Amino acid sequence: MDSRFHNIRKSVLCIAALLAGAALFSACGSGGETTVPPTEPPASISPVAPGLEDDYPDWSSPTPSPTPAPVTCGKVPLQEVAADDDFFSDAAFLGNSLVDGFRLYSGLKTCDVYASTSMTVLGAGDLVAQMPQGTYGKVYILLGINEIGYEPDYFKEQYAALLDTIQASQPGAEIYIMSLTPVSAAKSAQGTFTMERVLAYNEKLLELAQEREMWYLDLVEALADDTGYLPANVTTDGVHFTAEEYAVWLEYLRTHYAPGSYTPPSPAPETSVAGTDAPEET
Amino acid sequence: MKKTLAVLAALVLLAGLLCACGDKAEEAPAELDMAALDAALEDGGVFSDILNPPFEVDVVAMLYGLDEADITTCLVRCSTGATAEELAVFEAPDAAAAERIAGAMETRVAAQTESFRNYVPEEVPKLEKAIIRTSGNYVVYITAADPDEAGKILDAYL
Repeated sequence: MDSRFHNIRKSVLCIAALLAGAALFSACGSGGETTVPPTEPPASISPVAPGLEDDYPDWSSPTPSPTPAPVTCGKVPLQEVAADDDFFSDAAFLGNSLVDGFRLYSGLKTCDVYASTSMTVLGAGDLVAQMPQGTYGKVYILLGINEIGYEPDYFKEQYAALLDTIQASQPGAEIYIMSLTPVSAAKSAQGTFTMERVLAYNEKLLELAQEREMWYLDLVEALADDTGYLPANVTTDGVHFTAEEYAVWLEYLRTHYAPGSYTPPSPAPETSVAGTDAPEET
Repeated sequence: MKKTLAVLAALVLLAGLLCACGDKAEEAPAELDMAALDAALEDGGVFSDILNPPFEVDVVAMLYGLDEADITTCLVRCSTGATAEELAVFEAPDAAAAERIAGAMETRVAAQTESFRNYVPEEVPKLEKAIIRTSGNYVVYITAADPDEAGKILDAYL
């Protein structure tokens, strides 16, 4: 009797061991029921069964996040590579005394400039008339400070009419609408040439750029200090500024251009100096 | 005899004075220190605006419509654009080039006057008292807030 009980107990123990082993093998499988989720999702993502999303968090959103749409107009994004002077060789700059200052002080000599002191959006058509038809690949425009007293919507309307004129003259050109530049705090405090009006005008210019699928360059971002104004030490009248600021303006333009519109030149291949190569043995 | 000597002395003195008062333009300076003149004008407080650093000669030629060959050396500083204030000092290779430069300065004053008349009318009186002075191959153009003081300072150099 004791030996039979011993044999039965031995059999039960063996069966239990076999079952335990089977359970262990099952836990190491790629599927099946398990309480330990894998740390990395498999290469091919399959939908998670309802109710198991928390166990498989990395597999719960099989659809990849959409990549952002490329920027095609509006505020020009910052580019990693600064454009060289050649980039501006097909550019025309159009505007008021600040554009004249750009011509004199920025250091850029590869572009053409059509500018006049006291120029406004109403008179700029005369400058456009000086441009040879269809010459330019880019047109940069800075207007607005001399007509800061207009209603912003009226300014936008007149600016839009000017854009029509420019497009008729330069149909292949990428158009960059440059914002009004900042004024100093002291100038703003005097009234009329206030930073508030500058920003109101700039808002309309950004709208225009988006509506017309053109580019907008934020010169307040480029030239204002941390207070949001033109620094006091670079201006005597609160509007015009010293030569150094034009260099800052140019650097902003070098790093803000239509995506894909600039390809840096390839580096020149290295040439070997004659006589330094070992002669071939014959 | 005494009277005759006195008259003769007076005549000699008068002749000497007349020679000394000859046309300044005929007495060209050996060399005009442009940087020193620039500093003297700044120190004299004749400008109310910030004058930017001097331009390179190609920008000067573009600004005034000059041929670079007409400019041996120059020092030209313009304001921020807030005013019409300006300093331009040239040495030309010869008198003919100096004359062309002086003509370009006249044109500059006229154009600036037209520009500022409706823009910043307060600048027009400065332009009306602009200094354009030629001495030998040197030409100096100054539009300043204090043209009288600018003229006095220039007298010591040209």
